[in-house]
Amino acid sequence: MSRMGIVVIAAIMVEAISIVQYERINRIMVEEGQVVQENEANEFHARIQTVRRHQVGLVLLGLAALAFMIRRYALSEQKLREADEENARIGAELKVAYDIQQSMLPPRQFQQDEVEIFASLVPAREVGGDLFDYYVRDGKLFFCIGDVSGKGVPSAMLMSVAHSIFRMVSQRINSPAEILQVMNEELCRGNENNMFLTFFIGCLDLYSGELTFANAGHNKPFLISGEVSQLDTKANLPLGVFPETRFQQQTCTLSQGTTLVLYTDGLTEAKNSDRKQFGTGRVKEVLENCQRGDDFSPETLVTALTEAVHGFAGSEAQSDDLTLMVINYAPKLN
Amino acid sequence: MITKIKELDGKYVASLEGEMDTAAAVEAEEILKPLYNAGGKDVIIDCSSLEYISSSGMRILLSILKGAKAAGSKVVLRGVNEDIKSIFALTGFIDIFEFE
Repeated sequence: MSRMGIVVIAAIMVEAISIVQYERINRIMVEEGQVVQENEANEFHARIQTVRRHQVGLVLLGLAALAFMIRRYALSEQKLREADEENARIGAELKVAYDIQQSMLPPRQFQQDEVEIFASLVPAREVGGDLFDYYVRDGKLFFCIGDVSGKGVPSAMLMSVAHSIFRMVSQRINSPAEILQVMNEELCRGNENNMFLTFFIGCLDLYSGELTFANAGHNKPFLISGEVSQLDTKANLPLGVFPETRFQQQTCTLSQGTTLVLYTDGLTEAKNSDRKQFGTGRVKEVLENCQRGDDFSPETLVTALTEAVHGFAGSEAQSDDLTLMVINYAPKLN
Repeated sequence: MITKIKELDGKYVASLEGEMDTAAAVEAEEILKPLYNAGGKDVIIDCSSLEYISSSGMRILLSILKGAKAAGSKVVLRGVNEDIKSIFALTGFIDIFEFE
């Protein structure tokens, strides 16, 4: 814009100078009119007038072009300013949304006599569709982890709804499969975009170590108990797919010191520059290394997994929300 | 990724090539949307060159399946590789889709 402006202004100046010069020539010619034939002088004068009209026309055209460009520049400046303000507003709102979403989560760290928990949730954007939650009721630890299809604001909205329903329903129902069923029926209502979420619910009896769980299409948690294995969960459909889905419930007993590692696919599907996925094999390796090092406290495992996946992905941007929740069941000895 | 749809012998054939991550799924959905209402025609989804599918991609396949079911037609996934099949197994989607 500024270069064009200079060109236009220069053109106008050149035109203006030529007008002044033509005016001077005209005056000289009229002064010398005594020695020039009158008709010749008139003809010359007319020619000068024509040229002058053209010059004035050009100057006006130049001025109009300049005015047009200044106006356009001012408008685009205004549009940019408006866009900047709009972006700043959206950014500020997303920041608030992030704070709200994080504040809905329980503390990252939790320790009670029988159980220790450490968790981490890092959305790929400001807000995300991942969730973890836990709380103790009637001597039982209720916990869940979930992942909505997609990411960003739409999935965050659905996850907030799912989280509220989980909190309400699990207050009065102990069975994870039944909780999933109520959640599913609610989430299928009016779900025209067919968004769905994978969800794992566990209920750990802190006295007996009995773990009741049901899995709605979520990644199989890892179990560290002597060796590192994956919890053999039955594949049920995710929530929000079909209202008539029934979820199978499973039970196992955790021995003292057992650690459960729950995660979302942001861990296993993280990619490196060769488009290779981190995969469950690497998760297992990291957990086994920690186990060999005899330090597998929940916090150590979350840190080790986070560092391993960042190291693996290198400079590749985090493409999905990443959530980890590690629960160590260590009942107090009598 | 590359997404194409054609009509062949009264059926829709969609082919998905490459990685259907969240970003690619947004573009692919624009192309695949007509299949949400396939008007009773069967839909074949050729996945033989599909290398990865995110949950956003699964949502699109689910939308196609629901539309087809409502119209009494069927959806067949063709040439799904083992990695992608394991994602279908994990999410229970393996039971609601037909594979060949």
